[in-house]
Amino acid sequence: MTAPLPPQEFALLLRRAGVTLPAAEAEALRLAHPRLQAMLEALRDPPNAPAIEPAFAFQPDGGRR
Amino acid sequence: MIPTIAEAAALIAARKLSPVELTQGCIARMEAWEGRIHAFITPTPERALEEARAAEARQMAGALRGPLDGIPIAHKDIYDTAGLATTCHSAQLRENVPDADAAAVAGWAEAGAVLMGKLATHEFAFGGPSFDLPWPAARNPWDTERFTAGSSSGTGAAVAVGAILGGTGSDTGGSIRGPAAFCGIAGIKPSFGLCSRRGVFPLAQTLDHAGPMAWTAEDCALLLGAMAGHDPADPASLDRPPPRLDVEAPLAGRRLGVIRHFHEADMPVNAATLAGIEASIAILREAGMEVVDVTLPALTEFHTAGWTTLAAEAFAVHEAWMRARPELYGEAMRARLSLGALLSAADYLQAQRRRRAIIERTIAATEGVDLLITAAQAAEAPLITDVGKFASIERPAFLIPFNMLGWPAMSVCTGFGEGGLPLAVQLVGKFWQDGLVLSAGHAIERANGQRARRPG
Repeated sequence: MTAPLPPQEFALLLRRAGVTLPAAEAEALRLAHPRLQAMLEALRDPPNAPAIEPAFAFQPDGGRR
Repeated sequence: MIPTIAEAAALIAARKLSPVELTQGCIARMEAWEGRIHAFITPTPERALEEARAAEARQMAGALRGPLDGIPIAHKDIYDTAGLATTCHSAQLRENVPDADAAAVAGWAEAGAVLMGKLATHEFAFGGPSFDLPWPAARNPWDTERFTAGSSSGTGAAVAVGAILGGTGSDTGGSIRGPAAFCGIAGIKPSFGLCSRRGVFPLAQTLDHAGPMAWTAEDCALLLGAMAGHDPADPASLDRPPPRLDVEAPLAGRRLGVIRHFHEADMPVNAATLAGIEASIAILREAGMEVVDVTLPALTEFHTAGWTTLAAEAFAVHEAWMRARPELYGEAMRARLSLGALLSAADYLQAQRRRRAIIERTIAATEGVDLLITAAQAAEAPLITDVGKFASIERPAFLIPFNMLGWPAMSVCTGFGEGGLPLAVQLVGKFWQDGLVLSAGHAIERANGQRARRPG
């Protein structure tokens, strides 16, 4: 698992996400963030084959055929 | 003695039990336990007695509406109730009073059920347990220092003590089956599209299921029958006849697949839980099921795709409030929504693409199998203070795979661990095979004899 992001970088991530948290909560989230990163890497390992559609494919009739 | 719904219905039909007396018994148990377990946000005992008197009038007139007439129930406080506060256990909706009933609330009311009140939940069915909300967190009645699991925490606790005979839950990543397991009751997450979510506050729409919780699988079948069916107001509701929910349907000749790697390798369970699973397999084998092992995608693979889906969809639901008034959420809710806020569009879409691949591999791996069995929880309930706000990303759980698949899944009690806390097993059916799941749960409960013991 990777190390937590530096506080300033993580604060930028939160700002971009539009989330404002009390300092202590933001710090707890920063420390938990590597676990989230590990999960997101696992989502791509092995890579999803290019032809795989999302679970809910677009249906022009809203699926009511 | 606290009757099951099936027992009470038979006695009411035979005019051997008064709905008013039944409701008074539930109110007495609610009053005896509520100070310790905090199962209710809004109890409605006076309304319950009024509705029970109406049920009794129908009983005397020979005009009972069916097996739920006169049965005391309650709803998780994310289900809209017309004219009655629906808070989602959150300061965000402290003053919210809906104009209309949720579909399930209306269905049970039309069946004659008696409303005992609105039940505690994790905040918006996501943030909990929390100790900084306007109402306390529900406690496990088998040991009030222990976790009920979530998010249908109040339903689990209230059913266990007999304050209600059944209640609604919702299940996005295990929120019916988890509390059912830790509280020693039964709960089924029905097939996706079987029960309308109209009027149920959403958590993650592609994973959300409405469903019942009760003391037994048989009672869950009765409750499910009154909330299943097509509803054009829910885009996920399927326009097809509901499955038959006969808990006495024979199991002989059906094939049971044991997802052994889930509970022995991917997330090993403790010895008592494993013993309960093996005993349940033996019961189903004795009932005539053929038993085989099956291998599905790894639990962690389900977990990463399922959790990413849930967190992203939950943040989308709450984004406006999270930006405008985050201080009205509890800390646990803010933390979990913040994780969702950090996901990218690509993260969400990769989760959806992985979800499709997992579903296809699971369908292939379970060809020729009718029912699946694995753990519901890895062990007995932990201390409520030991459940961290980031617990959901720390380790996989046994429940979310079947939200991703949309297959029916239920938890039934297998016995009690060394600390006297309940143990459970999870049964999973193929899509729309809710009846088979309930039938297997009923067979296990009948054979293992664990329905005689209540908290306290």
